[in-house]
Formats: sequence, C-alpha cells, structure tokens
Amino acid sequence: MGEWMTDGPNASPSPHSGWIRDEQNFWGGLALVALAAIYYFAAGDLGGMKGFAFGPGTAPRLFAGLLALFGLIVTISGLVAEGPRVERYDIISPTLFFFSYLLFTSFSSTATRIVGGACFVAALGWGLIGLIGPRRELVRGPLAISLSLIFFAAAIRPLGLVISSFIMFVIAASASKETRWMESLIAAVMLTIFCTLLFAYALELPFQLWPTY
Amino acid sequence: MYDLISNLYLGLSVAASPYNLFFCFIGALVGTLIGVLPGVGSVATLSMLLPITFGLPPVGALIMLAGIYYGAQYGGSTTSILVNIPGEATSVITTLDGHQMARQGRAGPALSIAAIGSFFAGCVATVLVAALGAPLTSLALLFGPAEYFSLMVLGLVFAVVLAKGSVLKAIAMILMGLMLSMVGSDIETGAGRMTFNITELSDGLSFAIVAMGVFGFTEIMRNLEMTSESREILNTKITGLMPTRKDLIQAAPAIGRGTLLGSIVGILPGAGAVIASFAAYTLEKKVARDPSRFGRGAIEGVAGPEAANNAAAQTSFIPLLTLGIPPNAVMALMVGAMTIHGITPGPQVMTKQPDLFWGMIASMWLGNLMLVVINLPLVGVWVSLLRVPYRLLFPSILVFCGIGVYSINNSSFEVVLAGLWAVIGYFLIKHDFEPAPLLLGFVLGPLMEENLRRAMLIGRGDVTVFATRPISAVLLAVAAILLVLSALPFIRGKREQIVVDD
Repeated sequence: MGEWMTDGPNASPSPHSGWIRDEQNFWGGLALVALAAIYYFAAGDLGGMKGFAFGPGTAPRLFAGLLALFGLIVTISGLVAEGPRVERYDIISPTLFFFSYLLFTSFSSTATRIVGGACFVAALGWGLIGLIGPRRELVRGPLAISLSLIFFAAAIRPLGLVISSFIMFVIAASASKETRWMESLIAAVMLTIFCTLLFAYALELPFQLWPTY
Repeated sequence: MYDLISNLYLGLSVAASPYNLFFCFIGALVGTLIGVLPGVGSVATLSMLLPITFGLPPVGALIMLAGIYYGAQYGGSTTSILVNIPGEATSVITTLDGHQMARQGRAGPALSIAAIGSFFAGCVATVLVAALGAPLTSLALLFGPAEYFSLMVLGLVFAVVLAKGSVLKAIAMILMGLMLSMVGSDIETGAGRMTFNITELSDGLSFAIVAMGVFGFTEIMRNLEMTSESREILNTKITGLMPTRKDLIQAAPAIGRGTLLGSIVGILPGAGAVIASFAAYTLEKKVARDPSRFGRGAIEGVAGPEAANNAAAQTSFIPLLTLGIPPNAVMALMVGAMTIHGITPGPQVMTKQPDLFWGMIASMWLGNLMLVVINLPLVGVWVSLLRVPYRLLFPSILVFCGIGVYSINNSSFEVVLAGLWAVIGYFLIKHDFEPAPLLLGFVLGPLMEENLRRAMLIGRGDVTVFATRPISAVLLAVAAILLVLSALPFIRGKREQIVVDD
C-alpha cells in the first residue's frame, strides 16, 4: 500500500521535466511498483510451495510480482512515449490523516503512536498551509470529504447517530465553494431526520441515536 | 420448451408476490432517479446501497439491485433527450439525435420511442436469459478447476480488450485487484496474509468498502473539481407522447437491430451497455440510406442505442447467473450482494435456488413494464429533479454512505478504509488508470486463486494441465489471440473508434 505516498506529480507542478515524457504513466506506474514491493515483503513470511501444493504465500507473491512487472512497463513507457500532463491535485493531507487515524486505532505500541502523531501534525500543517495558499481549491475537496469520514468514524460511538450525521454533513458541505450555508444547514437537518428514520427505525439497525453520558 | 415455460411461471409467481413486486418497484424507481441525476452512476449507487440490502431477504435484495441497474438505463435517456445531459454513460450517444428531436419540438416521440425500444429489448433479453440459462449451466458442470481458471482469464482479457484506454494499464489494474483481494485469512491454512496484525483485516478487504470508496467517494471528489454549469432545461412543453406511424415504421427495424446487437455485446465481458449503445449507433448510421440525417434528429439514432443498452444491461446477467463470473463492474457488485447473502454465484444457483434464479429473471420483465409506467407519464417530475443542486446532493450522498458503511459491521475502521480507498481511486484516475478492471480483479481474485490451487494440486504441480485439457486450452488460446489482436495497431485504431466514436 504505497501509492498515496508518492507525492511526485503534485509536489512538482513544473512543466515536463526533460526525461519524463508521460507524467501520468511514469508516476502512476512507479506507484504500482511501490505498492507491489510493499505487498511482496508483507507476504514474505508466508509459506510457499510445498511439493506441488500452493502455500498461503504463493499466489500473493505471484500476483505481486506480475503487478511489479506491469507497473515497471508502464513506468518505462512514461519515459519513452509522449503523453498528457497530470491534472493537478493534492491528496497529501487526507492521506496522512487516514494514516494517523489507522495508526492510532489499530496499533498500540509507542512507536506507532509517535509515527501516528507525526502524521497527524504533518497532515494538519500541510492541510492548513494548503487551505491558505493559492492551491486552495485543489486541497479543499478531497480534504473536507476525507475529514468528514474520519469525523464520522470517530464520533459515531461517543456522539450517536443524530449529532454525527449532522456535523458530518456540515464538514462535507465545506468541500464545495458553491455551498450556501443557510440552505445547507436546513438540508443537513432534513437528511439527519431521514437517515435516522431509515436506518434506525425502518431498517432497525442497532444504532445509538444520542450521546452516552 | 416446456421447461422454459414452467420455469418462467415459477419465476413469475416468485416475482409477483407483493413483497418482491415492491422491491422491484423501489429498484426501478431508484434506478430511474440515479439515471436522471448526472454525476450519480449506477456502479456508485449499487455500491452505496449494498449495505442496506443486508437486512432484506436475498431474493428481494437482488431483485431491487437488478432493477436499479436496468432502471438507470431508462432514466439516463430522459435527461439526454430533454436537457442534453446524459445521466449515465450508456446514454451519452442518445444526446446526439434525441436532443435534436427535442429541439425540433418532438421530445414526446423521442421519449416514447426510447421507452418502447428499451421495453422491447428488455422483453427479448429476459427470454434470452431464461433460454440460455439452462444450457450454459449444464456446460458449466463440465468445468473443472483448470477450465474455471482459464475461463476467468478469458473474462478478464475480454474486459481488458474492451475497456477504454491503454491495454497495459488495464492489465495492471486487474493485477492490483487480484493482489489486494488476497489480503486476509488464507482459505486453506487460515494464515493471516498481509494483515499487519490488524484484527479487522483478518476477514480481508471488504468488497463493498472498496467499491464505495473507489466509485462512490472518488466520484464526488472528481465532480467537485468541475464548476457546475447552469443546466438549461428545455422549456418547451412536451406535447403528445405518441409517436406517429412514420416514426414507428422508421424506428422498428432499428429497435430490432439494437436489441440483437445489445444482447450479444452484453454477454461478452467488458464495458457492456456502454459499448452496446455506441456500437448500435454506428450500425444505424452504416445501414441508413441517408447517413447525413444522423445528428439532426434521426429517430433511429435514439431507438437503436436505447434498445441496445437495455438489452446489454440484461444479458450481462447471463455469465453471472450461469457461470458465476461477472462480466462488468455492475455484475461484480451483484456478486458482492450475493455473497453478503451467503449465495455463491455459479451454476449451482439455478438448481439449488430455482426461486431466486427464475424469480430474478421474471422480475426483470415486470421491472421493464413498471419502468415504462414510471418514466413516460412522470417525465415532468424527473426533469424537475435536475433542479436539485449538486452542492446539496453530494454531502447527502456522503452522509448516507458513511452510515451505510458503518452499519455493515458496526466498524469505524471500515469507514476510514473506504475513505482511504477514495484517495487511492482519485490518484488512479488522475493517472488515467480505470478503476473498473480493478474491481473486476478484486471480485474474481479469491475464485481464481482457489481454482488455480486446485488445478495445480489435481495436475500434481504440472502447469501444462491448463493446456492439455481441451476446453481450458481453447479458452486460453482465445484469450491469447484476443490480447495479441488488441495490441495490433490496426485493431487498436478500430477499438479506439468504437469506444470514443462520436
């Protein structure tokens, strides 16, 4: 799992930097190679062929190897054939936020806490700088959408369905510069009511509606 | 023949139960709704609604999901004709002549011909699904693991060849899907694979999560980048839905050709309904006596593609229901839905759960009938829906999906994972990688691995088992020929023409 870490295209919006002739293929292919490599090593401790029977690690390594091969061909094609520029985007901050959430909630060692904290600080910094800077509109959409999901994930248990969905709507709405706040707040109330009725009452899913004290 | 009728009767009795009729109606209604709304595709909607079907009975859930898919084909044409905005990729081509007809004050006939064409195609395709079901299922029983593996390879190759864009990148996406589908516990040994000791990953990456992230959320991120243009809604009143005699005479053969072409294309794995509508338009233009009428309101240009996309949408159920192999992303989602309900798609569905199999097929016919009713008289309602601005739509979709994802397993982890997948999908699209083959690979991954392992075990570790068994050898040979052909420059040009023809 590595491609959202390659910050090549968004970090360097310079024109065609000489030897890269197709930015889409070069960076995209490279990301796939990186993903395949991480995966290959993560599968490293799994057993391989036993006689003529596949072990748990055989097929994963086979497909990771094939992905690395094809990723590499795509990368090389980016050096050989001319291609379009990558549309500009910025997903560094959302990616770091997701990482820090996962590191904090899925692991509990000191090391992961430190890395998770660092990710969080970096995500916050990159996000804030992005939102003030000239690339505001590139940062805003993916960031607000990601944060609304992270908020919901963190809030659903302590705050309950009603408050979580309402605030999630508000955070998500900030992703668009066309949002008009009065209108959105009314829509948020209506959607919250609709979702509560649908999920908690009609579908009878076990949701807690209000905060626990 | 008698079997066919008694089976269809069984199906009708299942589909016509009030409960299932209700689900069929909801599916057709939701399908029309998302078909009308641009920026909300059928793949995205199906992935969003997967969690909701969790609490429903399996037959009802599948009937509803199927209804959404073919319903979207109907709804998409409405906005193509009236507003020149295709609600679905499959009705892009309908804008060309459909909207011209509307501008000439003939919106009514265009809409009704689209509906009649779709209905006719839907009826024929339903019978086709029913008729091909039994023979293909018995064929599937001859298949051993080696044949299944080769068949899946062929299916994936088809998807690559028919997908738009680079063949290489499509293969890379399939491999990425196959690879990631193996995260989680190993079927045979139970060893945790690539789980990084995260408990939530021991069951694997959930298909619903991947689909919702890559299709639902990524789509929202993409749509937000485009500035919303003011949608100009045609103000002319729709007077008289009825087509004239001349319209009918002109459209009838086009509907027939579209149905035939669509039915064939739908069975082939790949882009399915989208390709079908483009191919049908090209065909109509070729056979027309005066091709210059096209683009200026030729009724065949509406009738052919609309019949074709609907036929293809339905016949794409054939490989899924008989062989258990999804030919496109929507069918991959249907596999997901079936798995959620503990049904393994494949030949055994027909024999073990005939009520589900035939009920679903019969519901398609009923659904098509409902769609004509939903679409024609209510056309005004659907068009006014276009006035809901995207700035209110997208946060609603997001909240709805957030709650949906969480409710599958009451897991916050999966909500965050879906978000992470959205970012991955966004990256892939920015680098011009299609997410649909990834999803297909992801769904077929576990099946492919299982059959590969079994085939190797039965063949005592000998790889040539795939080439020495005749059916398997033929399937692999066809796959190889297809791949080679698609790489040839001549065919490649043709292929691009079919995919992005205007």
